[in-house]
Amino acid sequence: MILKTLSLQNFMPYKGQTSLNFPTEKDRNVMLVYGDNMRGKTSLLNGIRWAFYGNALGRHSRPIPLLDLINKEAASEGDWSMEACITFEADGHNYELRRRAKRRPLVTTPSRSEDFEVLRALSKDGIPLGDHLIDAEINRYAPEQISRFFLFDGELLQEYESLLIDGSEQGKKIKDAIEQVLGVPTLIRGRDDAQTILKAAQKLQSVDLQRLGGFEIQAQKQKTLQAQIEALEEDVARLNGNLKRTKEERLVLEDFLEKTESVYQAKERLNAAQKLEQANSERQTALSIERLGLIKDAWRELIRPSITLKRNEIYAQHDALTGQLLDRNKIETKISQLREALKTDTCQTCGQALHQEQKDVASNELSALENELKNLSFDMTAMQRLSSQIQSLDKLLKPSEAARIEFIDRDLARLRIEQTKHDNEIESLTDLIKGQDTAEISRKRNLRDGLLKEETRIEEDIKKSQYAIDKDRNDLAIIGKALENNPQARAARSSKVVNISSALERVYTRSIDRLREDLKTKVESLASEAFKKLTTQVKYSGLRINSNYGLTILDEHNQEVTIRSAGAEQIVALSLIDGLAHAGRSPGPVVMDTPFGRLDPKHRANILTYLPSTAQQLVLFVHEGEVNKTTDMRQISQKIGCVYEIKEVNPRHSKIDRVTQ
Amino acid sequence: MTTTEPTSVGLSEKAHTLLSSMKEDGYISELTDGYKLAIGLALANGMTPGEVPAPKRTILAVSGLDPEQEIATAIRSLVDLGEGSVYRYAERLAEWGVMEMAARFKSGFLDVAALIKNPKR
Amino acid sequence: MNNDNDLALNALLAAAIEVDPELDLTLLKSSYEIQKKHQFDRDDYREASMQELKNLIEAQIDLEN
Repeated sequence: MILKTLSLQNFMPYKGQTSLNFPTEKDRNVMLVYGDNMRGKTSLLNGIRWAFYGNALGRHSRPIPLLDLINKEAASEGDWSMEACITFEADGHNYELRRRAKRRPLVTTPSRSEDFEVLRALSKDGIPLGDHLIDAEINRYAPEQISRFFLFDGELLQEYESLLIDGSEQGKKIKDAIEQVLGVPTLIRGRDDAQTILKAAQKLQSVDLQRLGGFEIQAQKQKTLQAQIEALEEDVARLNGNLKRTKEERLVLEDFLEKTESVYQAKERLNAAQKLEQANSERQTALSIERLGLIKDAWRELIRPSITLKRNEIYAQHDALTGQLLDRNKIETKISQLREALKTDTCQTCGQALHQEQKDVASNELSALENELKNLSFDMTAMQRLSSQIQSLDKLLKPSEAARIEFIDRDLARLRIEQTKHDNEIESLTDLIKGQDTAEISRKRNLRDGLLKEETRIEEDIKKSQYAIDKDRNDLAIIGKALENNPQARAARSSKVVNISSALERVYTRSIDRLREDLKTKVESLASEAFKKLTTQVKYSGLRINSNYGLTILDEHNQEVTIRSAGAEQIVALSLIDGLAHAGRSPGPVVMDTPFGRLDPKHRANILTYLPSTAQQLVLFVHEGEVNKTTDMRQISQKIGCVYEIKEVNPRHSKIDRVTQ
Repeated sequence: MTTTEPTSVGLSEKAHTLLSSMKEDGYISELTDGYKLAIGLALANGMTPGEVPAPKRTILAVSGLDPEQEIATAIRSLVDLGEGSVYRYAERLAEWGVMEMAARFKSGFLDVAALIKNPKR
Repeated sequence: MNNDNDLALNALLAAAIEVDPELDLTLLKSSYEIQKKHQFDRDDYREASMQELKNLIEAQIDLEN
């Protein structure tokens, strides 16, 4: 398929009439559309999408209501008509597809999408096709189910990362889309159709067997199992309905919570800061009280050095007096001994009788000592006074905790600094969440969590029911097998239908897994090839695929590279897209919106060199910040067929101009 | 001891105002705490302070200030009072100490830890 | 859309050999063509492919008779 022209009227920011021509030459197959963010690049993509399928997608692939698609300025002037028209060539035929929305006759000012009627027309080589044929014709070249792979929104690259997370919502959507591109649903539907036919045939078979006679038991078992399966399938359908509703409800909440996430986080931080501030305050109070208590004794610390000196002085004096006292006691003892000796004429040491000489010596010593004693005065009062002073001073010197004041002061200073920090944080966070209903956000968060749990529960129930269904089907198959071997049973027509449809069902079921395995190998190989051309890192040896079509990079030792930059993610995603393009669809036009957001110049150069070869037409929407007009564009200047630029007239009106290169 | 000791002690008006604001500002719990601190500071500096300037204001009972006579003991140990009154001397020490603290901590914060580390200026 | 259909058909034929070698391959290929034709039908148009498959099976039984 080759796109030729796109015309829009009053579509999103494009007020009035807007047209552009796609490049149609084989060698100059690249179209560039420059425009800053929010000017209308994604709207062009949506213009194409709306022309083909009647829907336009916003963030997270959510549909944009029709009312929001009509240019606001035109609507304010009373012009409520909107149109998208695309012409393209395919299989040698020229097509013109036109889709138009206009206000319903009795509505003056539309306020909801239902106030519009939408008409479409498709002509093939100038001949209009009936409306009932349009979908089938479009499906031949641009089926909606795989449109996300040729109408390629840069946001998809970010969504792609969810492929690496097993079980994620977005990952599952993308995985389904990938498998759609690669033909897996064809086999799944084959299996489902065969199953439907088998079920009906088995019912008929039960009736036939009962008529035949001799197979009542098997027939009854078959009937029971079929009834069970039907009931369980109804259950599963009901549960799927509940699951869908619950998911939708949850996604609405997720949207709200995403928008208010920053507010929620700010509130959490505010609560934490307030707790810390409170604890800080309490600690400061406690320390201040302790400090005041310690100050009562602080005067002791001030005089401690002086008092210690004084005490030492007094102690020395006391020591000296004590020495004197001891000396006196020694002399008194000696005097006593001598007196006794002279009285008894016996030596007090050895007990022998004293000679006259010895008596004279003793007598002289006694006189001398008595004189000495007389001169040795001792002031007991002074000694007692000194002891008492020492006691009083010791009391003054008892240890106090006042020395702790220094450490408390340090702690308090630190706490005050922290308090200022907390106070500043609290003030800025309070400002941030002013006017927001944080209680409501918390309530919705809890609601969302509850719904998540509910979803898990429903999914479990679905699994259980499915398991029971599979078991019953197995039992049915066993009965079928037994009947197959019975010539009488085999002869009945219904049995033949059962046999064939059962075989088809088994074969299609197995083929689904086989195809998935084959595809993974093929996509892995193709994506690796693309990756090696796109990456600037020569050491990378390729990519490895997981069950969700997520790809991890392999280094030169074939080990997985776990940490990847945002730029690397983009390259891997582009490699996957290219791998899918070669594995699945025939080369058709690829429209890419902002694919270069996170890439450095080297990677951009690789992509710009490689991409044009991957599709028949390549339309790139870029903003000036993404690519350097001079250096990057040099890579593909030979391949550029046309260049457009989106300009803002006012916030509700943009226009596209062709730029001459 | 022939000297009669007073039953209450005080400060000059100015010193009393300063001590009161120390309490109001939360740097001391009681006037007694500040009074004792001032006495300690003066003793640590080895000051021989002059008379308390008039008008003098009585602010504390001696029994409340020095129930265990520790202050009296400290002063008597460090100062040769002769026949002088220990608590009258204490008043003069306190007067000096309060003015000294006010001069040192003009910014208001009574840095007791600094006083303990470096009582002499 | 040739590439992926070859892959799908190849997987189908290989599965037949593995699961039920006696299944008529012409019948299998014809059933596949039906699915290929209807692969992008919307869910409310599913009857069409199912009916065509049923007709195919009935025709096969008539042939065998």
